[in-house]
Amino acid sequence: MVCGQSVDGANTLFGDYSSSQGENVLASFGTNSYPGEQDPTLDLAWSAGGSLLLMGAGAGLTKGMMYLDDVASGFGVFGRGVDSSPGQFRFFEVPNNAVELPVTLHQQKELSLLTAQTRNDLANDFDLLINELTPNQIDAIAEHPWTMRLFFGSAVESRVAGQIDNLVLDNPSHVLSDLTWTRRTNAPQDFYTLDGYGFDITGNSPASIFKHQSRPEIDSLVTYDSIPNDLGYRFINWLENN
Amino acid sequence: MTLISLDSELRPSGNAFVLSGKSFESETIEKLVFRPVGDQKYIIEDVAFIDCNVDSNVAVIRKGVTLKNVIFDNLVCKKPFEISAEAVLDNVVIKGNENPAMVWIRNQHEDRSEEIEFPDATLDVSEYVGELSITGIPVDSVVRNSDLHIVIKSSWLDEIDWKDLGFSPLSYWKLMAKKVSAAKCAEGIFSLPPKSGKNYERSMSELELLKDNGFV
Repeated sequence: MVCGQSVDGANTLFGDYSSSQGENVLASFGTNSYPGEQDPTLDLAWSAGGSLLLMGAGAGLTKGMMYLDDVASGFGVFGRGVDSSPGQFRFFEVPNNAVELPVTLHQQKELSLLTAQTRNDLANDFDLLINELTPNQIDAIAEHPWTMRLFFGSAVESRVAGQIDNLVLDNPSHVLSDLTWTRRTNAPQDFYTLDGYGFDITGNSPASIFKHQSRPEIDSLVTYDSIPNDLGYRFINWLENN
Repeated sequence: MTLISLDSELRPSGNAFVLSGKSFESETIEKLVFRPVGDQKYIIEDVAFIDCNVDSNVAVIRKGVTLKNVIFDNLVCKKPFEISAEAVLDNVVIKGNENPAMVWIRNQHEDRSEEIEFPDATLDVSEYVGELSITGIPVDSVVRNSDLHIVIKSSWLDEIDWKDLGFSPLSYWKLMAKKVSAAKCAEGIFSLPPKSGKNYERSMSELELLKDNGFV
């Protein structure tokens, strides 16, 4: 399913190990930053200096046209679904905005926040990071610290998935309640909704973005700031000295 | 190939969804996911999965699930079989040779520091060969193969003089003790390091050191 594919993308690093994506997303909800004249979510796409790119069928259109185009093509789900049994639709709530937005945009915002926070948490708190690594992965990193680059992405994905489960456990109507984690490394997308809308989270290197944006199954690509090259070595230093 | 959907096998019963008295043999299961939301409870009782293949390689069991008298025998799943330490495991058996590829049990909520009680619970992994990581449940509740599955204590980080005893600064066993500590647990159970690793022989020698010094 390809409709209104977008990339929530690379921000400038504001410090050694912090990502500003979460703040950008949060700001998009604020009335000070967005006085209400425009659709805040679509403004998000344009406000981050090109960090949130709109692509696909709607690329090149104005914001309003993009929105209408997405609506016309069945972009996401408006309002509420219904649920009673496992694997079926659940009620989900969306913030009370002046403009009714596609649920998938709310989901993208939530996923962006979770991803940015998770990336920063794991890069800064090695207790959290080691919790997300398997014994064999830890053994491999101890042998070859550069392999952290191979495992960090799956650690982010796994932790985000776990946090979504906990959010939904506490609040069955959470906006992310209908996301399913594919888990597979070679799956075309990391999460998909009941309607088949695909999300993927990945590092923000140009090569990674290019690789993912070419997959038709990915409708929204959420990126996080790539980890520093020396993160594996810092992790090893922490293991040795703590 | 017919895909089995476990969601469609669940039957409502009060506030719970129940799957009981079933044996799945040589079936292909779409996904093995039991993920209750809100106050939902899932009860999986008297169920066997024998030589089943998880098509999506997604096998996740979360808090709110009770597994009672359940056996997973040669469950083909190329990704970790993740089980929340906050699920109730009562006479659960996982066996197989790297099927699933990994068994991973840990706390679902990281602020949960106390291991919950399982008065009569047992988890039997004694016939499971593969990568194993268990924290968040009492090690005494796990039936294991002591040659393959090693109990690691977080207290070792302080109790063992790793350098004087001749351990490598990055000893696998020290790293696993660190993992237990990071999980805010006292003990955990881990598989041996992978034989393909460069440090395998060293790790096995260090395991003997642990045994010689009475830690294992």
